[in-house]
Amino acid sequence: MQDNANTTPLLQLQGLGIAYGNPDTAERRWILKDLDLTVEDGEFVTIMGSSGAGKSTLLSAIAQTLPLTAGKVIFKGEAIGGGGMAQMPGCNRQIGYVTQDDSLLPWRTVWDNLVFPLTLVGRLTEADIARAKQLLQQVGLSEWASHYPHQLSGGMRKRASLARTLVYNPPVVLMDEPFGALDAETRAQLQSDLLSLWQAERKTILFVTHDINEAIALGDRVVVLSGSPGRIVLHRDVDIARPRDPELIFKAPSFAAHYDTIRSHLRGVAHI
Amino acid sequence: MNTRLRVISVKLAGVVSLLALWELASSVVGVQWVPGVGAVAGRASAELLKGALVRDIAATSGLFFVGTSIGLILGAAAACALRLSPRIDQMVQPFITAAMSVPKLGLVPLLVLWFGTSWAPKVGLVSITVFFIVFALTYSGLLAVDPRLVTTARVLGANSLQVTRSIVFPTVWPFVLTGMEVALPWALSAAIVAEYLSAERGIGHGIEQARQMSDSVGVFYGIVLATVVVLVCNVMLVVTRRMTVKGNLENV
Repeated sequence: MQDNANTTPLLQLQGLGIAYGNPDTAERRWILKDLDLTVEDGEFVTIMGSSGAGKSTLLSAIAQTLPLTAGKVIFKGEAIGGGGMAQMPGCNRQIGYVTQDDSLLPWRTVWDNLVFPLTLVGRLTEADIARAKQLLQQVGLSEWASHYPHQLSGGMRKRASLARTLVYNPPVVLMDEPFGALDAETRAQLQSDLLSLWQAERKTILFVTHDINEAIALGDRVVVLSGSPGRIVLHRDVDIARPRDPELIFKAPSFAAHYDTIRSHLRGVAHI
Repeated sequence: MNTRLRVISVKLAGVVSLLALWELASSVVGVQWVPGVGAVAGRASAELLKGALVRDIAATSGLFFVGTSIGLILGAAAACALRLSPRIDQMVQPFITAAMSVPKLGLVPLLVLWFGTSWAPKVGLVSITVFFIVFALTYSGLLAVDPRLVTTARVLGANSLQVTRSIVFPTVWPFVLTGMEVALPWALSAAIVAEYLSAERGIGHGIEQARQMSDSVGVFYGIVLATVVVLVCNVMLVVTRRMTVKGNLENV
């Protein structure tokens, strides 16, 4: 088991393809094609890409909320999607997905939304409640527990949605620009909270962002998607030592080199 | 508190002006056509003392509740069945649309022909009236279920039953309540028309009997009674909505 864990990557995408439209017509449009990606257990991968390069589509494909047109998703050495398999969204609570829209249940309070995933498997235990309370505090919503989503700001809804995914502790967490709509200060706070959560709970995170600073500050590796259909044009390992301070990441000696490389790959294709 | 007081006083003013209008009509047209408020109130208290008021309301309410419940259950079930199976939907939907346009009260002679003058045609008429309204609204409610929320619940590990309970039902329920609110006066009208035809008691029976004896006070008393029943039921629905519908669906 130990051996297996060391040799098999946690998540592998092989020849992944997503297309819309009838296969026999010219209307067929590939969003992603022949995409290979390997993610190790405990790795923090940030995904960047020009608009329309298929970043969100990639996450949906991994979360299995979108059927694969081609290729396979392999989790712990076992195929979990593709090849005509039945879709299993979230892969039996192994893959958490914080979507771009917050998708909170509008008729439930923040607290009831937060514990919703926990209530799906049984009654709430003392430990569940303690964890939910702690997460609520970490995302700064303790005072808002009994409010409904429409009474919250967009940023607060995003934080609630993030907490709702973390609360049931899936080993893999996919995040689609979770901090995009937040002010700089809240964003920096949540970035460092996310890093400490990630380190404490040994999660594997795939994090989509359009902010190069954020991508470098958080990721072990930055992956740049580009083109149409989207493919990976850059894998960049970020060698900056942890723990990192996301706000002061630009002070790291290698920051400029990472920044330039990523930016040129993002831009290079944007000009084609 | 201040706004609440204002709302109550506006409502009170409405009631008072309605009664004033009624009295005005009575004195202009003549009491034999439009009896005064006092005469109708007097009749109500006399009927109450005789025990007839409670008996009539009970009879009509019973018919109304049984018929409404059957219509509600069948209407909601039919909408669910159609949404679950696109094939049945395609086959049945045109017929339902056609049947919806049949004036329900026009079916009364047919129902009497089929079922005689037992309870069956009366309950049937109320049920049919409620059925189509609840069906239409439940169907719209099912169309309004947000697929993103269903996907989210699935990712969080919900099975079909849990998706139904936590996503589908909360979306559809306010629509069903709206359907009930719309159906309410129609359902009571149906119950009263059914009672005109064949009944030994009930509000409709009372109105019909009063008409035969040119007792305009009795007719007005019956109409007021029916209106009160509708209003009371409406309040019950509003309270139900307030207790069961949360979040930003409160104003659907």
